[in-house]
Amino acid sequence: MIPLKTRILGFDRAQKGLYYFGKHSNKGGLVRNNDGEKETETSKLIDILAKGISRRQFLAVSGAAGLSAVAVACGSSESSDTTVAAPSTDAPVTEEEIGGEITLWAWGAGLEGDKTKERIAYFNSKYPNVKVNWEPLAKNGYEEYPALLARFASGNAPDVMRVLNFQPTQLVAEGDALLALDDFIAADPDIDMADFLAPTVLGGQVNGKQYGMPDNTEPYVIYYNKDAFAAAGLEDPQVLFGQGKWDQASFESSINALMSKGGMKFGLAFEAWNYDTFCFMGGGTVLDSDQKPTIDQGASPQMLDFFAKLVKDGKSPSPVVGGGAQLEAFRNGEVGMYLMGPWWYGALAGTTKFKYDVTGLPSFNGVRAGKLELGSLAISSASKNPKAAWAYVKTVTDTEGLKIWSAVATPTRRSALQAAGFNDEQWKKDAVAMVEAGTFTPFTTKGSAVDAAVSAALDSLWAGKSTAAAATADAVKRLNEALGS
Amino acid sequence: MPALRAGKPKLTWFRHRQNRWRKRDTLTAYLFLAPWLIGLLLFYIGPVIAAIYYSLTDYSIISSPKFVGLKNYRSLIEDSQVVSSMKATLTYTVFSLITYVVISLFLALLANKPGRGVGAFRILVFLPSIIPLFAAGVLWGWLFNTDFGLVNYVLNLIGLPSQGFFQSPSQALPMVIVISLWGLGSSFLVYLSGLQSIPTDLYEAIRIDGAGMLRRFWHVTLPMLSPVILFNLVIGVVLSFQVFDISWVLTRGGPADSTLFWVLLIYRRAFEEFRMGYASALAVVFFVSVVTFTGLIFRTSRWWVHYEGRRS
Repeated sequence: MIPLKTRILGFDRAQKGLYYFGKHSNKGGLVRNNDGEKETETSKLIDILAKGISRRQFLAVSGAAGLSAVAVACGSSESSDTTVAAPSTDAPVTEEEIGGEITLWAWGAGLEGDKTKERIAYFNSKYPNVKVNWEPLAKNGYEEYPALLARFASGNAPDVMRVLNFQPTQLVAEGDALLALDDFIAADPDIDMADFLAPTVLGGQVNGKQYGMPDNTEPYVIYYNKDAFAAAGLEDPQVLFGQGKWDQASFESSINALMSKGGMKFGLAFEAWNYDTFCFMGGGTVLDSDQKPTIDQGASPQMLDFFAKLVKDGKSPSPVVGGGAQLEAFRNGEVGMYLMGPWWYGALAGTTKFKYDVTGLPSFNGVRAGKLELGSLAISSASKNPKAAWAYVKTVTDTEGLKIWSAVATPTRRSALQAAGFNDEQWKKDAVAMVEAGTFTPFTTKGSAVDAAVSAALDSLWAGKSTAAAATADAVKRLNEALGS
Repeated sequence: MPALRAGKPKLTWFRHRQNRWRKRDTLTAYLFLAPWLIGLLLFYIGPVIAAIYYSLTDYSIISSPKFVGLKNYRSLIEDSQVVSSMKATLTYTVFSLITYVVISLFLALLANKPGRGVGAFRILVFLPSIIPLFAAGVLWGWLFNTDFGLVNYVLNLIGLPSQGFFQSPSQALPMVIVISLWGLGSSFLVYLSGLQSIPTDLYEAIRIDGAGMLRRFWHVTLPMLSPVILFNLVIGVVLSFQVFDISWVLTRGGPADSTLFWVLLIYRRAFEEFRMGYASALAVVFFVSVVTFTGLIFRTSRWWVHYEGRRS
């Protein structure tokens, strides 16, 4: 499905307006420019990423690249802030020389719309000769995706667009619809790809090429009822998370105590479409890097079994498709914890009769991991003004541009996290830690077919009519059918 | 004769003028019809032809369609969700037709009796149908929520166990069928107007012959109402095949594909997976199925539909 999850997520976001965040200082790592040596590191990185790598491999490569970048940065020549190189021209182009018009396909509702306006104003303060024709999206970019495809089909695609999760993969594979940004990035000394959180860079890549500049990301976290935790005599999960003790044992004992002593009807609520988060939490996967189903292997069945057992034992409500029942149950004080993205943090304020907070996901099997939602800015391959389009993309995803955006989403740059004050609150730091530990199922050209196949197979598990082993075996069968493998 | 001869040119002239007027009238009529005809061609017949063409192609909107012959139709056979959606759609159609045609007829018969409170009864039956099923679906979803719904709360109060309802693969489809009762106000209204147009002298005549209530229903009401039943049956088949909104709101086709109706499957393949060629093949099969079912109903109608008391 377009992922039901993303659909609901988008609906939630569009309806509620957003949050949040502050700063996080974790600066450092790779600086990328057009130097040959750094290109080698980058190419190496991209090659590995294209094949699909483990987080450990990625960190190792990032570290190596970071070291070489530091070495090069020490001896780098002066770079100008006012030049933009385009792949079609060798000579640098000044900001004043870039002009014309671009169309922008981006969020336009509520706070997101206000912040998009601010970002356009910020861009125009640097590029006064470019007129941005913004087409505000009423929803989140998922509902409007078919319309975007129709725009491509009619040869009237916007120059710059927000693309989410699987969309770049599909757009590139189906019609080579996006412009690869690697040449722009390589030719631009200002672009520091190492400043971006590693998984967000991966989210904009297709076949080893960068098609989307990381624009925002959302990790999955645990909302918890602070009063119920106190009543149950439980340690605050944020403290446990910080100490590395927020694990399966403390998580399970919290669920039990919240029900027995904390006055909660349920210990934990979660949504069925978060199945991949559960798999990742224990170190499992849904698909491997070759897009072969792996949900029936490793920790995935074990993790799904854990969550299904919570439902069976009456410790979690049945995962509901749509409707927002789980969130309402948490808001009403019937559920002690709620597993979801952090976008509800601000919207819950003033609507609960108890204190609540947010922390990261518990680790299982010694693994801290979770799923990420990813958003990038991309340029149409048919853009008539790619230089201006690139100027917009790079400007609004620089530290200042992402700082503006931090009011509605987790910034993808470490420098922006710091500039936006992400160290101010503990829950924000925990959320950023989940971004750093985050991953996602490799995107396929089939879009949401993966979600549809797995969700249908797992329905019987959540209903208590099937075991995790049987449900994941069915998921593999359905995935093979959906992916044509 | 001379007089006749003299009159002939006059008559020819008159007919000529008359033909011109008729032509002008015809042209005017077509001009008035033109917006509708253009709309029909562009938005109904055009897309049907386009869907037939695209069903023979591999098409993902962005890239150009590539002709693949009958490949999409062959793929239908291998798609396990086609079978489950066909099963769900046919089950829904059969049972919702019973509610749409039979239960609404029963309610219309009750509402056709004169007496106190009949007006309120008519309003009560019709009122739900003015609420969009989409909005009603959200309400039903809350009422029948497994863990927080009012219905399970009441069941627990009287000592009965909670039910899965929309979360249960075995209960979700029956629940959707029951909820489809919500929209029977329109067929109820058509039946009611049909009942009120039956001449009362027919009832008086059969009463004089000593017929009771059942005989009156069987020999007068049913034959006189048969064109209305045909109308409701045809509309009911078309609407039942097209069911989408309630499943979209409540279950998204789940659990375990138990409410994955045909149109929802078309939507998924087209607008979530962007397999337009394949989705078009699904739509063509859907179109042919609806036409076949409707054709069968019309074909059999000659044996059971009576227009003004005569068989069609």
